[in-house]
Amino acid sequence: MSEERLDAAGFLKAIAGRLDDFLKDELAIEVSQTEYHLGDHNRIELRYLTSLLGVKGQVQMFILFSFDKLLIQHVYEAYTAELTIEDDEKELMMDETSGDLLNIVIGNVLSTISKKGKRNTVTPPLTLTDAKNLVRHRNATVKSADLLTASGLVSIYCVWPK
Amino acid sequence: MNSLRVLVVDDSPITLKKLCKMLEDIGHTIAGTARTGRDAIDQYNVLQPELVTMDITMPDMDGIEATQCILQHSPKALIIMVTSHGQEQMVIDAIDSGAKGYVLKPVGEDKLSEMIQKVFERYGSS
Repeated sequence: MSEERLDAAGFLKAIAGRLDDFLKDELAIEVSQTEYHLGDHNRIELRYLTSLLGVKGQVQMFILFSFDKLLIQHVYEAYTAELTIEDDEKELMMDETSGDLLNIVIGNVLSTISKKGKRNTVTPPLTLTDAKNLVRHRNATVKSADLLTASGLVSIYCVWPK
Repeated sequence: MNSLRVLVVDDSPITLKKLCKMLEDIGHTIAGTARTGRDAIDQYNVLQPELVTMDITMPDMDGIEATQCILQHSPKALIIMVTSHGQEQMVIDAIDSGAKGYVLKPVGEDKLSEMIQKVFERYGSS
């Protein structure tokens, strides 16, 4: 989707703001600083655990949340604090935690940009582990934000066709 | 309100665990769980639960289509959407499909309990 039709910076800021709220309100994790990278990236540097999903409709875009190890562990512990998780489920549940956060935040944010009568759908989230980076295709645009917490960073990437 | 037998549908195993715990904490019984729209239809037919909580975004068939399929065969089924999507058109589509309620994630016990109460006051005796 072109920037003429989408305020990409505004959309990225809405995602960062909703993620900040979710971390604070649901998980008691404070974001101390948010840094936006609104120039185009040639490479997406992935952190310890990354979840991605696609949005289709009024917005056509891939969105990634990429977490530092300590932060996703902290998020997982807070998100599952009231649940009984067996030892052999822990790795899967940490992956699922990242996907859940992405799904909830993006689902919530889409309501703020959706036009009357338009429906944006999202794919179920996918989670990447052991990946280091993704290289931008020449026809793709990438913008990002980093949210800093006491347990490390989560990076948000928005990728869409030029 | 009496304890209800609930079918919980969500593709995320962690959300399934959270919803099941919340429902049990507010006094209901988990009749079963499903992680896809097609599985939800099969489970509904076998289990005949008194209430279904239905996610929207799922692999193979979304929650709106699954709701329509369940209601075609069981018009009195009580289905509440539990989803992260607050888009106006998504809510309209869900209600058009026959869902009786809509709860936005992240879900808390109070919000879920209140919606179940409302749905049963309005539709429970039909």
